[in-house]
Amino acid sequence: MKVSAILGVGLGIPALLVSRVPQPAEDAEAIRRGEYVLQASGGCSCHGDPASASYSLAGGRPIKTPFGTIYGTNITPDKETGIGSWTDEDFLTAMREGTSPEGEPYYPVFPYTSFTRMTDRDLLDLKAYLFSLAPVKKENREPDFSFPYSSRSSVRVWRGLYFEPERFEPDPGKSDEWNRGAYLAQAVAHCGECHTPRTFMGAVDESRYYAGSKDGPEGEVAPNITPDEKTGIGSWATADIVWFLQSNLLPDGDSTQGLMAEIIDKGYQRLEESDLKAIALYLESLEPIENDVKAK
Amino acid sequence: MIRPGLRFRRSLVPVALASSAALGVLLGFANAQEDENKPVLEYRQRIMAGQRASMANMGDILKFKMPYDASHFVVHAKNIGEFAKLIPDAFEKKITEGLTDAKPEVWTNWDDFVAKAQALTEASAKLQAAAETGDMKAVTPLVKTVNDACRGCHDPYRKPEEERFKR
Repeated sequence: MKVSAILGVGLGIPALLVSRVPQPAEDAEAIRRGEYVLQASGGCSCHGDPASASYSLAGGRPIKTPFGTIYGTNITPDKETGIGSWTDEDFLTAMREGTSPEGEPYYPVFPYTSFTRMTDRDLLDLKAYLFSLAPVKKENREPDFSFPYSSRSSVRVWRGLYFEPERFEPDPGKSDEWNRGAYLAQAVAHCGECHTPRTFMGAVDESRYYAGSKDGPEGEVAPNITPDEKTGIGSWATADIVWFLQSNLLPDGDSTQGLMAEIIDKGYQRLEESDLKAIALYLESLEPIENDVKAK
Repeated sequence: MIRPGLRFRRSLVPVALASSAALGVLLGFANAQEDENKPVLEYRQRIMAGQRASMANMGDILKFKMPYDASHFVVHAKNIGEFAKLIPDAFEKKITEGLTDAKPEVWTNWDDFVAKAQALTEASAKLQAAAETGDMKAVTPLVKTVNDACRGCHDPYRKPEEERFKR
């Protein structure tokens, strides 16, 4: 019996508790696909409104970083305070290049450094989904960063040093399943943003991709998810990775807490089992890197 | 001739002796407390370990690492629920220092803590009932419900990963 025959049967997961606006039938399919993209990204949890019981994406959530606290922005389609006036091009530019419609660079806490690899189709489907939500009028809050990080000019310098817009390029030498997993992990699910250690300048340390970080978002430890036997997930079976992303349960029966638990709840657990297996296959193919982020 | 500085230091001797004695008493008290708390903490942690073991075993069955045997699933579900009944007694003593991952909020929100343990017992009973029917498809969502009940208590009352004593 396939694992999906069991695991895919009604986990009792409610649909996202968000208000929706009726849409023309021709948009329905794009919206449905866009909701899936949102789930694959972890539910855009950083844009959640902590004051909203219905998990609206009106922003306001404080996100602690080593450089100060930044607040998730309003990505509901409110025309004044959200993204309701954005064109498709505005949305693609924001997600791919990290630049607002006004030409301002976004702080890379917004993981456009990963989303830049996403396809047009996925991004525009995501926009269709976000635009199907009920608009919420809520002003964005400026980050509480100290100088020099408080200046957007510092972001321009940072981007000049560390960011180049790119696209995901499938590896023709690998299977479709591996490429799907690589695309999801590298671009949509943006695993590397938390699970890769960063340099003192806040750039992802590409020599230790996915090797874990002691200084993850919210001050949390982001575990090493390379297949290293001692310090990573090398002892996990494929089914362990899939089950973890579906249930939050670790192989030892404990459950994860914090941000990872949240993005599984709001996103990953709703993904097709085939996509979760593809992510597992990709993670298993990575170079094992010994890096004990749990050591004090 | 006695130098002034030496005379000053001699005058501190009784103070130093008294301080040392007081420190010794305090350290002795702290050690005695630690010795007294150790079995209580270990008892709690073994309850959690027992529940974790059953959760891991159910996970391995659902992952098809182990064959599905409804009678085993019933035991695992029951085990988690029975251990949950012991949680209020096991945590009655307030211990916030030492080798513990329990937050002080356990005791400041005691009624809620007990209610959450009760919720785990109830979720486990539902899982056990489903397992008794032998329907494997029915148990999967209920395992998640049991895990949600565990997390319902862990999120507010267990220290986050980076603050745990055993890392």
